[in-house]
Amino acid sequence: MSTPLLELEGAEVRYGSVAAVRGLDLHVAPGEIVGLIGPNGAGKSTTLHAIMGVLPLAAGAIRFRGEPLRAGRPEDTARRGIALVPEGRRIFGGFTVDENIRLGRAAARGRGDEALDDVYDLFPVLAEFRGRQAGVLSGGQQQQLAIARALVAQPDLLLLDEPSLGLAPTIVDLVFETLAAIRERGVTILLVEQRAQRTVAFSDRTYVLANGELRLTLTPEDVQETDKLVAAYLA
Amino acid sequence: MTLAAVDAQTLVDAVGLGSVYALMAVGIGLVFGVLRLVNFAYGQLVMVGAYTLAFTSGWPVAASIAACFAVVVLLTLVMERSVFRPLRTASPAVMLVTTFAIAFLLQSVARILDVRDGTIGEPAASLGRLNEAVSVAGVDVRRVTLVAIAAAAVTLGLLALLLTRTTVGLHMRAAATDFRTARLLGVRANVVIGFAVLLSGVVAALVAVIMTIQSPLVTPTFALQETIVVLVGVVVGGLDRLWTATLGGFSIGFATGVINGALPTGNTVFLPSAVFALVILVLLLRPAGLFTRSRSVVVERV
Repeated sequence: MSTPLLELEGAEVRYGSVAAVRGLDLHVAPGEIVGLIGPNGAGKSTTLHAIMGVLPLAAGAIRFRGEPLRAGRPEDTARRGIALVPEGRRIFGGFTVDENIRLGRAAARGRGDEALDDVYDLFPVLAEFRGRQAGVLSGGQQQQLAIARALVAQPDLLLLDEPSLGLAPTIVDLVFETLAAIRERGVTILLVEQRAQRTVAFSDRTYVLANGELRLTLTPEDVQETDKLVAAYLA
Repeated sequence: MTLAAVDAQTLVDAVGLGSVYALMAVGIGLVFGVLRLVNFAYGQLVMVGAYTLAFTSGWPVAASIAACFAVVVLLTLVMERSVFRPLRTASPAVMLVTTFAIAFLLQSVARILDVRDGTIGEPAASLGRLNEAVSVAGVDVRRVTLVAIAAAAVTLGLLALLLTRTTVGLHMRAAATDFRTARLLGVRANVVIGFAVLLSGVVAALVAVIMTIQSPLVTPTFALQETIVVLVGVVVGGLDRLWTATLGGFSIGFATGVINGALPTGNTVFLPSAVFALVILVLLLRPAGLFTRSRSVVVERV
């Protein structure tokens, strides 16, 4: 296996005296799609926030391209080529669609006109509404906007925090179709989700997290058994 | 003088006062936007600028004004680096009290420098020419009033362009709206904060020049009263957004000017009472701010 793009080694994150993530070993190779599933409070979002540098590590290390990532300055993490699609989308509702997307360029150098054209090609609906206030878009469109905003930085690694949360089933299909299109472009993805079966089917590998610890690693071959396997391990 | 002329006179002066207050409101609002910090020491930046003008009043006017801008901007940056930045994650109460401390410190230093000649108060004589009145369509207007109105219009216009048309402006607006998400997208906290503080310093220097022309005797409490009134104004307008804060600053200045003109001569001692009665009324009727929308735009959509 080639050098991992992202590597967590014995990572531990604490909220006060409570460990939200313990002894987490995880790696993502270049070009890979890796899923991270688990129940509420398993430590999935905490892991992403630790990678971005929002939360400090109490123990262990996080390396990106073999170099350690430091906590405290998420903007530096973003500028090193890791983009996050945050939980709840966190788009700027009072800004236009275009302003939201241009904001995504903050992590990249230059004007990036090509990158802008590229995401508008990928998301025609955003191109159509580019001058409109982002707050009036539908939930699915806002999720596309959040993904476009992350992609426009041309990241080496895309982190997604529950992109299907709170969306209608047909819109969830759309989100996974979008992710498939992004996969075709060779972007490495770490996908945090609650929808276990879909994530296992979509990802090259899926980690199952519970109570802050890694319990299980699943591959697409396990997709029929996903619910049974996950239930057995979390029992 | 006819009654109509008095009214026009009052209105022009009120707009002039509103313009100066609007500039101070912008300076306070810019920093509040990115730091959630109410800089009580903003008036002391203006005061330091005024003393710079007074102490350099022997210089050519342009050099004196340049010195004012240099000193105020430098002091603003020092304040940011030594106080605001380390306290960025502190509670709003700690930050507010700290700016109180800075305000009193700067006032005390000013007093020490001022009394070296045995008197309190330094005249900024060289700028007096701009305080002369000119007649515009039968209304006597002090030149500085026109300067104040023009300066405010140009400054606010440039600032609006900067915020809406440039990348750093976009980043500043994003940081003011949701700093955490902005940083996750790669917006550099130190850059946007530094830039906002720098702009607020430039505006403070501009206000110092205008106010020193209006009242050339500079004392350690210079701009103190005005800062308190402007702080009330930005809260009344709505501190959440820059333009509502600015409009709040303008409104309280304009209202002060109009009430001042309407009160019979000799009764101007009631001016603060009248202004603050109006403020209380506004806050009772619109506690979230005079210009804030009653319901914010819904962002969470399914």
